Amino acid sequence: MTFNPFDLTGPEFLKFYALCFIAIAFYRWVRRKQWLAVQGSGPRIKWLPYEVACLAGGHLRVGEVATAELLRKDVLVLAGDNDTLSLGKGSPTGLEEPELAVRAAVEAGKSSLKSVCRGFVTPPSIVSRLLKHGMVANADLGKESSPDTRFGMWPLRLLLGLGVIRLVLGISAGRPVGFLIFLCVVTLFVFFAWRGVANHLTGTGRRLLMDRMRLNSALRTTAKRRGDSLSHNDFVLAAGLFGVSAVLTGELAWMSAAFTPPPGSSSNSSGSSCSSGSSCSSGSSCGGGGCGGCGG
Amino acid sequence: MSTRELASLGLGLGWRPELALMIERRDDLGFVEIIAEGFDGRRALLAPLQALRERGVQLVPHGVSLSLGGAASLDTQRLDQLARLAERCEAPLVSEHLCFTRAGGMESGHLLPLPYTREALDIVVAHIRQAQAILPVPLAVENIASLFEWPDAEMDEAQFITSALEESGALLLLDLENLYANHLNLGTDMPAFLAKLPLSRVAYVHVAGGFTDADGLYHDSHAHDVPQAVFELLRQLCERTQVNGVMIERDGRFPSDTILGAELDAVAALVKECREHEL
Repeated sequence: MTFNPFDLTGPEFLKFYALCFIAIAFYRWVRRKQWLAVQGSGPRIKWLPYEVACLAGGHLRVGEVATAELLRKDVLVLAGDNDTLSLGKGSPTGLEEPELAVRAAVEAGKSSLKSVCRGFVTPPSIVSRLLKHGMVANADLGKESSPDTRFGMWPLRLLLGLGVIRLVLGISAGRPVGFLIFLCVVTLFVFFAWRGVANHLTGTGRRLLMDRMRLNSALRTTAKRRGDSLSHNDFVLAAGLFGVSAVLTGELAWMSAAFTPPPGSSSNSSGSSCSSGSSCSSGSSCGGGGCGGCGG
Repeated sequence: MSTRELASLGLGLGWRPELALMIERRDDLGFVEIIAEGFDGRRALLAPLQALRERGVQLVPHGVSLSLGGAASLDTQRLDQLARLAERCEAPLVSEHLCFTRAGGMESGHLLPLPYTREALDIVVAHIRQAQAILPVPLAVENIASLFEWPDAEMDEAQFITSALEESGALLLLDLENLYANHLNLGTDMPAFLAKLPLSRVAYVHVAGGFTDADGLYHDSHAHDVPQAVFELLRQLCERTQVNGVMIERDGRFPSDTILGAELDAVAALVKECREHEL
């Protein structure tokens, strides 16, 4: 007895299709997890905060973090439109290389925060160390698909082909095909989403990034409430790892409108695809509270 | 139960998200207290708390809404949640307040004092026993700060607490700042209060800071530095008994890590000094 999916009735085929889809997604998830687990997180060396920022979000993230830090130090000031940058009264001494680069850009007349950040190029000293230890795929931080992004792609193509054939047969036989069209569209959407997963990190870089996110969960928790209290290194590390908007809290909240993209925009979403692997986002909304002021 | 059966807690701090980083970086903390109502025992612990747990820092859930002294029956859902959280945290004990927070179906939003009467004592003892039957770990109850006292008291606060502990077998979470607040607002005699309490039942100690308002009332805000008078009370306590654990509560106007760290250092030094003096 042989199994022929085309012998199935319409509802049976839909169930078969959905089950196959779930199985492929599960297979991909398991394979990627296994692949990532054997990558290792590279040599045990101390990574500087801006290197971690570069790892997490490439050029844009480094530019945003440096700009936010300069605003925090009053080396730059932001106009009321939340986009125009100019030099402030803060001292430029002791600035790090990315901060000097942002300041130089503003000094040279580049005044739009968005254009400064989007056009930012990470200093070679930061990228070269990441490249040397195999954390990024190439020197210009260009996106490359790593092997794990291909897991499950062929079965998904086959499933989609099967669905399309069945769809054509169904239409020619005058059968209702609404649900099947829906499933095929979802499959197509997932296909392109999976195919589009590419970033500047190697497997080792992604593993290191996930480790850093996990190890810095306390930093993230505090940054989300009291970003203004962080030291320079903590601020750069937290903003670099979790995004600038995650640390613009407390007395820095005034900056958040400038760094938060408007709804529907993707200007601040340059972070790698690794963030989903972090364990830091789990749990409740951070608890806390306390019972001060009520006698307890 | 006496605190001899309880593992030593050491130096502690109330865990708040704002202090997570500082707490992670203090390697001398033996325990942190978490506000029970802010966590769900059915879910995994927050990553920073899990990391502390793995490091050997003990987590103590601290309830603020069980209303142990309320005339209404205990909310078993809250009790179950506290029990689940204690298990999730592998807590050595949990703590709650000796007060009521709701009546007639209404939540006060505050920790309200109990009338120091036999009737109120019977209620609170029954509720503590009910909680103990469900909780997987010992329960410590905390003395609260209040701005008023109910009339027709049949005993004083220290006698009430002592009876509640002896009749229920619960431990005591001694809040020295609440005692200080009651001294300022209600005239409580602090040395006499300490002398009347069964100090062998003190599971751990709270210290915190508050402020005095324009009307001269002292408020237990947990948002100010620990007053010198509270440090002095801690010294007196340490001279009387071996303290199992001491922690600072800080819920607002968070100071720099350096300032709060210095307060913790001062607490640790004081406890150490007393222990060395005993030896």
